[in-house]
Amino acid sequence: MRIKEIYGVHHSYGAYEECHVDIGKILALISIIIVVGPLASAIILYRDNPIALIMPDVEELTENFEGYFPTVEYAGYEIVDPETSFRVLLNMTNNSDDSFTFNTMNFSAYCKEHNTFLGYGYGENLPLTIPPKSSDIFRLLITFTHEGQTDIETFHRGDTDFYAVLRDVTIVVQGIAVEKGDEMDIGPIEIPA
Amino acid sequence: MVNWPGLACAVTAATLVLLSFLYASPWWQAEIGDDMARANISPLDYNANLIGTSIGVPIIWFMNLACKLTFIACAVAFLIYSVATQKSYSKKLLNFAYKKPIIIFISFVVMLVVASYIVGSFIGRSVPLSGTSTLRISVGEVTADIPISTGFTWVFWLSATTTVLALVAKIYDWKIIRPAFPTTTPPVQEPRETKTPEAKKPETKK
Repeated sequence: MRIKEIYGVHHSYGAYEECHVDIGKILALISIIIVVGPLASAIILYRDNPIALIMPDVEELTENFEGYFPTVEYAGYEIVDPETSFRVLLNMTNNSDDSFTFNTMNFSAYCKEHNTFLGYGYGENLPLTIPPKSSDIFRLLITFTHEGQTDIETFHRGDTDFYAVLRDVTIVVQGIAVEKGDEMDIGPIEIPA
Repeated sequence: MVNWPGLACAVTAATLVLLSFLYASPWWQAEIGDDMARANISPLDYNANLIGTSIGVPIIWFMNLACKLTFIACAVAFLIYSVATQKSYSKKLLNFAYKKPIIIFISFVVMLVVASYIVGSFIGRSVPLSGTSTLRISVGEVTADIPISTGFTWVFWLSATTTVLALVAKIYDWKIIRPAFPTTTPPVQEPRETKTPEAKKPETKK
Protein backbone atom coordinates (compact mmCIF):
# COMPACT_ATOMS: atom_id res chain seq x y z
CA MET A 1 0.00 0.00 0.00
CA ARG A 2 2.78 2.32 0.94
CA ILE A 3 4.71 1.51 -2.20
CA LYS A 4 1.62 2.16 -4.24
CA GLU A 5 1.31 5.58 -2.72
CA ILE A 6 4.89 6.35 -3.56
CA TYR A 7 4.42 5.04 -7.02
CA GLY A 8 1.38 7.21 -7.43
CA VAL A 9 3.37 10.27 -6.54
CA HIS A 10 6.01 9.26 -9.02
CA HIS A 11 3.44 8.71 -11.62
CA SER A 12 2.33 12.30 -11.64
CA TYR A 13 5.60 13.91 -10.83
CA GLY A 14 6.04 15.52 -14.20
CA ALA A 15 2.90 17.57 -13.73
CA TYR A 16 3.97 18.61 -10.25
CA GLU A 17 7.34 19.72 -11.52
CA GLU A 18 5.60 22.30 -13.68
CA CYS A 19 3.53 23.36 -10.69
CA HIS A 20 6.72 23.65 -8.66
CA VAL A 21 8.01 26.51 -10.74
CA ASP A 22 4.71 28.34 -10.74
CA ILE A 23 4.08 27.92 -7.02
CA GLY A 24 7.60 29.05 -6.24
CA LYS A 25 7.07 32.20 -8.23
CA ILE A 26 3.63 32.78 -6.77
CA LEU A 27 4.90 32.39 -3.21
CA ALA A 28 7.79 34.75 -3.88
CA LEU A 29 5.34 37.26 -5.32
CA ILE A 30 3.07 36.92 -2.27
CA SER A 31 6.05 37.44 0.02
CA ILE A 32 6.92 40.66 -1.78
CA ILE A 33 3.34 41.94 -1.98
CA ILE A 34 2.49 41.42 1.69
CA VAL A 35 5.59 43.31 2.81
CA VAL A 36 6.08 45.91 0.12
CA GLY A 37 2.36 46.49 -0.55
CA PRO A 38 1.45 48.13 2.79
CA LEU A 39 4.66 50.16 2.92
CA ALA A 40 4.25 51.33 -0.66
CA SER A 41 0.63 52.25 0.11
CA ALA A 42 1.83 54.26 3.10
CA ILE A 43 4.32 56.17 1.00
CA ILE A 44 1.73 56.85 -1.71
CA LEU A 45 -0.94 57.96 0.77
CA TYR A 46 1.46 60.28 2.60
CA ARG A 47 3.40 61.46 -0.45
CA ASP A 48 2.33 65.07 0.19
CA ASN A 49 3.49 65.03 3.80
CA PRO A 50 5.96 62.19 4.40
CA ILE A 51 6.96 63.54 7.83
CA ALA A 52 3.41 62.87 9.08
CA LEU A 53 3.99 59.22 8.29
CA ILE A 54 6.59 58.82 11.00
CA MET A 55 5.67 61.58 13.46
CA PRO A 56 2.85 61.47 16.02
CA ASP A 57 0.42 64.37 16.30
CA VAL A 58 2.27 66.47 18.89
CA GLU A 59 -0.19 69.38 18.81
CA GLU A 60 -3.04 67.26 20.10
CA LEU A 61 -0.76 65.89 22.80
CA THR A 62 0.25 69.40 23.90
CA GLU A 63 -3.38 70.57 24.00
CA ASN A 64 -4.47 67.59 26.07
CA PHE A 65 -1.48 67.87 28.40
CA GLU A 66 -2.60 71.31 29.56
CA GLY A 67 -6.09 70.08 30.33
CA TYR A 68 -5.04 66.81 31.91
CA PHE A 69 -4.18 68.12 35.38
CA PRO A 70 -7.05 69.34 37.56
CA THR A 71 -7.40 73.02 38.35
CA VAL A 72 -7.25 73.91 42.06
CA GLU A 73 -9.30 76.61 43.76
CA TYR A 74 -9.28 77.58 47.42
CA ALA A 75 -12.78 76.77 48.64
CA GLY A 76 -12.57 77.71 52.32
CA TYR A 77 -11.58 76.25 55.64
CA GLU A 78 -13.08 74.57 58.69
CA ILE A 79 -11.91 74.79 62.29
CA VAL A 80 -11.72 71.21 63.46
CA ASP A 81 -10.42 72.03 66.92
CA PRO A 82 -9.67 75.67 67.79
CA GLU A 83 -6.65 74.55 69.81
CA THR A 84 -5.08 71.96 67.57
CA SER A 85 -6.28 71.70 63.99
CA PHE A 86 -8.06 73.16 61.01
CA ARG A 87 -9.00 71.93 57.60
CA VAL A 88 -8.39 73.62 54.26
CA LEU A 89 -10.83 72.86 51.49
CA LEU A 90 -9.68 72.87 47.88
CA ASN A 91 -12.01 72.54 44.95
CA MET A 92 -10.42 70.28 42.35
CA THR A 93 -11.84 70.32 38.84
CA ASN A 94 -10.91 67.59 36.40
CA ASN A 95 -11.41 68.93 32.88
CA SER A 96 -9.94 65.91 31.13
CA ASP A 97 -11.75 62.92 29.64
CA ASP A 98 -10.13 60.51 32.10
CA SER A 99 -10.53 60.15 35.84
CA PHE A 100 -7.76 61.59 37.98
CA THR A 101 -6.59 60.08 41.25
CA PHE A 102 -4.84 61.75 44.15
CA ASN A 103 -3.17 59.00 46.13
CA THR A 104 -1.48 60.85 48.96
CA MET A 105 -0.48 64.35 50.00
CA ASN A 106 1.78 65.41 52.89
CA PHE A 107 3.23 68.77 53.78
CA SER A 108 4.55 71.01 56.52
CA ALA A 109 2.76 74.28 57.32
CA TYR A 110 4.47 77.49 58.39
CA CYS A 111 3.21 80.90 59.38
CA LYS A 112 3.93 83.10 56.39
CA GLU A 113 4.50 86.21 58.51
CA HIS A 114 6.76 84.75 61.21
CA ASN A 115 8.02 81.58 59.52
CA THR A 116 6.94 79.58 62.56
CA PHE A 117 6.43 75.88 62.10
CA LEU A 118 2.68 75.47 62.58
CA GLY A 119 2.33 71.75 62.10
CA TYR A 120 2.00 68.87 59.72
CA GLY A 121 -0.71 68.35 57.19
CA TYR A 122 -2.00 65.62 55.02
CA GLY A 123 -4.70 64.96 52.50
CA GLU A 124 -7.66 63.67 54.45
CA ASN A 125 -10.04 62.09 51.98
CA LEU A 126 -7.48 60.15 49.96
CA PRO A 127 -7.28 58.39 47.65
CA LEU A 128 -9.57 60.80 45.86
CA THR A 129 -10.63 59.92 42.34
CA ILE A 130 -12.21 62.74 40.41
CA PRO A 131 -14.31 61.49 37.48
CA PRO A 132 -13.87 63.08 34.06
CA LYS A 133 -15.34 66.58 33.63
CA SER A 134 -16.29 66.97 37.26
CA SER A 135 -15.15 68.50 40.54
CA ASP A 136 -14.59 67.32 44.06
CA ILE A 137 -13.44 68.82 47.34
CA PHE A 138 -9.95 67.92 48.47
CA ARG A 139 -9.58 68.27 52.27
CA LEU A 140 -6.24 69.12 53.83
CA LEU A 141 -5.99 68.65 57.58
CA ILE A 142 -3.38 70.67 59.42
CA THR A 143 -2.50 69.68 62.96
CA PHE A 144 -0.78 72.36 65.02
CA THR A 145 2.36 71.99 67.02
CA HIS A 146 2.66 73.69 70.40
CA GLU A 147 4.95 76.24 68.78
CA GLY A 148 2.36 76.88 66.10
CA GLN A 149 -0.45 77.29 68.62
CA THR A 150 1.59 79.85 70.51
CA ASP A 151 2.33 81.78 67.32
CA ILE A 152 -1.32 81.95 66.33
CA GLU A 153 -2.60 82.77 69.81
CA THR A 154 0.02 85.43 70.32
CA PHE A 155 0.13 87.13 66.93
CA HIS A 156 -2.87 86.14 64.87
CA ARG A 157 -5.92 85.88 67.13
CA GLY A 158 -8.74 87.66 65.34
CA ASP A 159 -6.82 87.93 62.06
CA THR A 160 -8.97 87.86 58.97
CA ASP A 161 -6.16 87.44 56.51
CA PHE A 162 -3.84 84.85 58.02
CA TYR A 163 -1.67 83.11 55.47
CA ALA A 164 0.01 79.74 55.92
CA VAL A 165 2.82 78.48 53.73
CA LEU A 166 3.07 74.86 52.74
CA ARG A 167 6.55 73.40 52.35
CA ASP A 168 7.98 69.95 51.66
CA VAL A 169 4.88 69.16 49.73
CA THR A 170 4.75 65.58 48.51
CA ILE A 171 1.87 64.65 46.27
CA VAL A 172 1.25 61.27 44.71
CA VAL A 173 -1.06 61.56 41.74
CA GLN A 174 -1.81 58.80 39.27
CA GLY A 175 0.89 56.75 41.01
CA ILE A 176 3.55 59.39 40.36
CA ALA A 177 5.19 60.97 43.41
CA VAL A 178 5.90 64.66 43.01
CA GLU A 179 7.92 66.61 45.58
CA LYS A 180 7.58 70.34 45.39
CA GLY A 181 10.66 72.18 46.52
CA ASP A 182 8.97 75.57 46.33
CA GLU A 183 6.24 76.93 48.60
CA MET A 184 2.47 77.11 48.33
CA ASP A 185 0.54 79.94 49.96
CA ILE A 186 -2.77 79.06 51.62
CA GLY A 187 -5.19 81.79 52.68
CA PRO A 188 -6.63 84.13 53.62
CA ILE A 189 -7.68 82.24 56.74
CA GLU A 190 -9.86 83.86 59.41
CA ILE A 191 -8.57 83.19 62.92
CA PRO A 192 -11.26 83.50 65.62
CA ALA A 193 -10.66 86.13 68.27
CA MET B 1 1.50 11.99 6.48
CA VAL B 2 0.68 15.06 8.53
CA ASN B 3 3.32 17.43 9.84
CA TRP B 4 1.84 17.90 13.29
CA PRO B 5 4.20 20.69 14.43
CA GLY B 6 3.39 22.49 11.19
CA LEU B 7 -0.33 22.09 11.77
CA ALA B 8 0.08 23.36 15.35
CA CYS B 9 2.09 26.29 14.02
CA ALA B 10 -0.72 27.11 11.57
CA VAL B 11 -3.20 27.08 14.46
CA THR B 12 -1.07 29.28 16.74
CA ALA B 13 -0.27 31.71 13.92
CA ALA B 14 -3.98 31.96 13.08
CA THR B 15 -4.73 32.44 16.78
CA LEU B 16 -2.27 35.33 16.96
CA VAL B 17 -3.98 37.02 14.02
CA LEU B 18 -7.43 36.40 15.50
CA LEU B 19 -6.36 37.80 18.87
CA SER B 20 -5.02 40.83 17.10
CA PHE B 21 -8.24 41.42 15.14
CA LEU B 22 -10.54 40.76 18.09
CA TYR B 23 -8.68 42.24 21.03
CA ALA B 24 -5.59 43.97 19.60
CA SER B 25 -3.71 41.76 22.05
CA PRO B 26 -0.27 43.17 22.77
CA TRP B 27 2.86 41.07 23.13
CA TRP B 28 4.52 43.60 25.39
CA GLN B 29 3.14 46.31 27.67
CA ALA B 30 4.58 49.32 29.41
CA GLU B 31 2.78 51.49 31.94
CA ILE B 32 3.90 54.75 33.50
CA GLY B 33 2.28 55.70 36.79
CA ASP B 34 -1.29 54.50 37.28
CA ASP B 35 -2.34 54.51 33.65
CA MET B 36 -0.83 57.95 33.07
CA ALA B 37 0.88 56.58 30.00
CA ARG B 38 0.59 53.17 28.47
CA ALA B 39 2.01 51.34 25.48
CA ASN B 40 0.63 48.07 24.11
CA ILE B 41 2.97 46.79 21.46
CA SER B 42 3.19 43.82 19.15
CA PRO B 43 4.19 43.35 15.53
CA LEU B 44 0.49 43.11 14.73
CA ASP B 45 -0.82 46.05 16.77
CA TYR B 46 0.37 49.25 18.29
CA ASN B 47 -1.43 51.35 20.83
CA ALA B 48 0.15 54.02 22.96
CA ASN B 49 -1.37 56.83 24.92
CA LEU B 50 -0.02 59.54 27.13
CA ILE B 51 -2.33 61.29 29.59
CA GLY B 52 -5.30 59.90 27.73
CA THR B 53 -4.13 61.04 24.32
CA SER B 54 -3.45 58.39 21.74
CA ILE B 55 -0.02 58.64 20.14
CA GLY B 56 -0.48 57.33 16.65
CA VAL B 57 2.38 56.85 14.23
CA PRO B 58 0.93 56.05 10.79
CA ILE B 59 3.93 54.09 9.49
CA ILE B 60 3.55 51.64 12.38
CA TRP B 61 -0.04 50.93 11.31
CA PHE B 62 1.17 49.97 7.86
CA MET B 63 3.98 47.85 9.30
CA ASN B 64 1.44 46.10 11.52
CA LEU B 65 -0.67 45.44 8.44
CA ALA B 66 2.32 43.88 6.68
CA CYS B 67 2.95 41.64 9.71
CA LYS B 68 -0.73 40.63 9.88
CA LEU B 69 -0.72 39.67 6.21
CA THR B 70 2.53 37.80 6.74
CA PHE B 71 1.07 35.81 9.62
CA ILE B 72 -2.09 35.05 7.63
CA ALA B 73 0.00 33.84 4.69
CA CYS B 74 2.15 31.81 7.06
CA ALA B 75 -0.87 30.17 8.70
CA VAL B 76 -2.50 29.31 5.37
CA ALA B 77 0.73 27.97 3.88
CA PHE B 78 1.48 25.89 6.98
CA LEU B 79 -2.05 24.52 7.01
CA ILE B 80 -1.92 23.42 3.36
CA TYR B 81 1.61 22.07 3.70
CA SER B 82 0.92 20.16 6.91
CA VAL B 83 -1.96 18.13 5.49
CA ALA B 84 -0.31 17.66 2.08
CA THR B 85 3.27 16.95 2.93
CA GLN B 86 3.64 14.39 0.18
CA LYS B 87 2.83 16.86 -2.56
CA SER B 88 5.73 18.07 -4.61
CA TYR B 89 4.95 21.72 -3.85
CA SER B 90 4.83 21.12 -0.10
CA LYS B 91 8.50 21.91 0.41
CA LYS B 92 8.03 25.23 -1.33
CA LEU B 93 5.13 26.00 0.99
CA LEU B 94 7.15 25.02 4.03
CA ASN B 95 10.10 27.17 3.03
CA PHE B 96 7.71 30.03 2.37
CA ALA B 97 5.99 29.69 5.74
CA TYR B 98 8.49 28.65 8.38
CA LYS B 99 10.84 31.64 8.18
CA LYS B 100 8.16 34.28 8.58
CA PRO B 101 7.20 33.86 12.27
CA ILE B 102 10.88 33.41 13.14
CA ILE B 103 11.89 36.62 11.37
CA ILE B 104 9.00 38.61 12.89
CA PHE B 105 9.61 37.27 16.40
CA ILE B 106 13.36 37.90 16.34
CA SER B 107 12.88 41.36 14.79
CA PHE B 108 10.37 42.24 17.50
CA VAL B 109 12.67 41.15 20.33
CA VAL B 110 15.65 42.97 18.78
CA MET B 111 13.54 46.11 18.31
CA LEU B 112 12.41 45.97 21.95
CA VAL B 113 15.96 45.57 23.23
CA VAL B 114 17.25 48.41 21.04
CA ALA B 115 14.33 50.69 21.97
CA SER B 116 14.83 49.92 25.66
CA TYR B 117 18.52 50.77 25.34
CA ILE B 118 17.82 54.01 23.48
CA VAL B 119 15.16 55.14 25.97
CA GLY B 120 17.44 54.15 28.85
CA SER B 121 20.29 56.21 27.38
CA PHE B 122 17.94 59.14 26.87
CA ILE B 123 16.56 59.21 30.42
CA GLY B 124 19.76 58.06 32.08
CA ARG B 125 18.28 54.99 33.65
CA SER B 126 17.80 51.48 32.39
CA VAL B 127 14.29 50.49 31.46
CA PRO B 128 13.69 46.79 32.11
CA LEU B 129 12.04 44.72 29.42
CA SER B 130 10.09 43.02 32.16
CA GLY B 131 9.71 44.35 35.68
CA THR B 132 9.37 47.64 37.46
CA SER B 133 11.62 50.61 37.76
CA THR B 134 11.32 54.12 39.17
CA LEU B 135 12.48 57.04 37.14
CA ARG B 136 13.42 60.22 39.04
CA ILE B 137 13.08 63.45 37.12
CA SER B 138 13.88 66.90 38.51
CA VAL B 139 12.62 70.03 36.83
CA GLY B 140 13.40 73.22 38.75
CA GLU B 141 12.07 72.83 42.29
CA VAL B 142 9.93 69.84 41.44
CA THR B 143 11.12 66.25 41.67
CA ALA B 144 9.00 63.43 40.34
CA ASP B 145 9.39 59.70 40.97
CA ILE B 146 7.74 57.96 38.10
CA PRO B 147 7.10 54.20 38.36
CA ILE B 148 7.50 52.31 35.12
CA SER B 149 6.26 48.76 34.81
CA THR B 150 6.84 46.63 31.76
CA GLY B 151 6.15 43.03 30.91
CA PHE B 152 5.56 40.43 28.28
CA THR B 153 2.03 39.14 27.93
CA TRP B 154 0.97 35.53 27.42
CA VAL B 155 0.46 36.39 23.74
CA PHE B 156 4.20 36.97 23.49
CA TRP B 157 4.79 33.44 24.73
CA LEU B 158 2.21 32.19 22.24
CA SER B 159 4.22 33.89 19.50
CA ALA B 160 7.40 32.32 20.90
CA THR B 161 5.63 28.95 20.73
CA THR B 162 4.66 29.68 17.13
CA THR B 163 8.29 30.42 16.32
CA VAL B 164 9.49 27.23 17.96
CA LEU B 165 6.78 25.20 16.20
CA ALA B 166 7.81 26.69 12.86
CA LEU B 167 11.38 25.54 13.48
CA VAL B 168 10.26 22.14 14.70
CA ALA B 169 8.03 21.76 11.64
CA LYS B 170 11.00 22.39 9.39
CA ILE B 171 13.13 19.86 11.28
CA TYR B 172 10.25 17.38 11.33
CA ASP B 173 9.95 17.75 7.57
CA TRP B 174 13.69 17.28 7.10
CA LYS B 175 14.16 14.36 9.47
CA ILE B 176 10.86 12.48 9.29
CA ILE B 177 8.70 13.42 6.35
CA ARG B 178 11.24 13.71 3.52
CA PRO B 179 12.91 10.36 4.26
CA ALA B 180 9.46 8.76 4.35
CA PHE B 181 8.61 10.15 0.91
CA PRO B 182 11.71 9.79 -1.24
CA THR B 183 10.03 11.29 -4.24
CA THR B 184 11.76 14.56 -4.34
CA THR B 185 14.08 13.38 -7.11
CA PRO B 186 11.96 13.25 -10.23
CA PRO B 187 12.20 9.93 -11.97
CA VAL B 188 10.73 11.36 -15.16
CA GLN B 189 13.57 10.07 -17.33
CA GLU B 190 12.68 6.50 -16.58
CA PRO B 191 9.80 4.65 -18.16
CA ARG B 192 6.92 4.02 -15.79
CA GLU B 193 7.44 0.31 -15.94
CA THR B 194 10.98 0.65 -14.64
CA LYS B 195 9.85 2.63 -11.61
CA THR B 196 9.49 -0.49 -9.62
CA PRO B 197 8.64 -0.28 -5.99
CA GLU B 198 11.60 -2.54 -5.33
CA ALA B 199 13.95 0.13 -6.57
CA LYS B 200 12.60 2.57 -4.00
CA LYS B 201 12.25 0.15 -1.16
CA PRO B 202 15.73 0.61 0.27
CA GLU B 203 15.26 4.38 0.30
CA THR B 204 11.97 4.21 2.11
CA LYS B 205 13.56 2.10 4.79
CA LYS B 206 16.20 4.71 5.53
